[in-house]
Amino acid sequence: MKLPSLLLLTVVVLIATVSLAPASLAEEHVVEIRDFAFIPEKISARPGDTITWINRDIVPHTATARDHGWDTGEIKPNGRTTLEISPRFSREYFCNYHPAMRGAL
Amino acid sequence: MFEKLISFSAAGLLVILNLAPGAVSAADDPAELNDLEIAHVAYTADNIDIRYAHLALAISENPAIHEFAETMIRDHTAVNEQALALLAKLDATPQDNFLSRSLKKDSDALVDEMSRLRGAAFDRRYAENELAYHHAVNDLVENAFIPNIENAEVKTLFEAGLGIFKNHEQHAAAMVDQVR
Repeated sequence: MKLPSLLLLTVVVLIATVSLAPASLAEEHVVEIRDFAFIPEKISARPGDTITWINRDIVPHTATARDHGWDTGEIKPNGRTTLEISPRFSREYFCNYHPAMRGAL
Repeated sequence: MFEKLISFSAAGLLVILNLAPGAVSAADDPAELNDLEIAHVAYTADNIDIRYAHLALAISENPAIHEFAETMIRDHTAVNEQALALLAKLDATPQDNFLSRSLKKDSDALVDEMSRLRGAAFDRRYAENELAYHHAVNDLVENAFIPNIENAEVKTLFEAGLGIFKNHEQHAAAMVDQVR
């Protein structure tokens, strides 16, 4: 392999590595909604992570930011909704239908 | 102890039904209802609360009352759908009974009364009734119905329903404080 080709290959590999690095660090979290509670109630997550809320109750729920900056919308019984956390996500959230249900990121 | 619990449950419901305690005969004991009669009572109670909620949406101008009423419609409809699906699976039909009829009759009178109220007076009456209604029905379900339900799947559904309606009771209590 000639020198220019080797350099090009090195650059491509470096770019690929750098661009893939953040994605490989992202985590997938699952929050179950059961008996009118978010389980776990608090999760440690950061921007780039995804959270999937799974509704195990027989009535619809939501996961809605206290400041209404983000919202899963209605999650039907046995349904699930996944959101990717952005830096602007506020931490505290609740069920818009059942305000006593509270969770935190 | 169990007899006391049932007596308490029946007494609680009698307050809602506006009946004198002496009006209950052995034949009118909620604890004597079979599974299909209990299912009918629950379905009737769900529909009554849905009816109250529609009235609230029509009359109240308070956003908190609207949100609560919409939740009542959403949740009670979901529970009724689950109940109907289970009854279809069991190839069973709910049976009308004295308690369903009393609940219906009493709710007719209450809807008539609340329909004449407006503004804060309506909001207070609706919120207070939601608290009292959920408290009485939850008490009945927990202490008279669930211990006597024979079918395991029906019992499981009632236990899930009780959890939901206890949440409603808490929500109603917060709403009573809010509109006081």
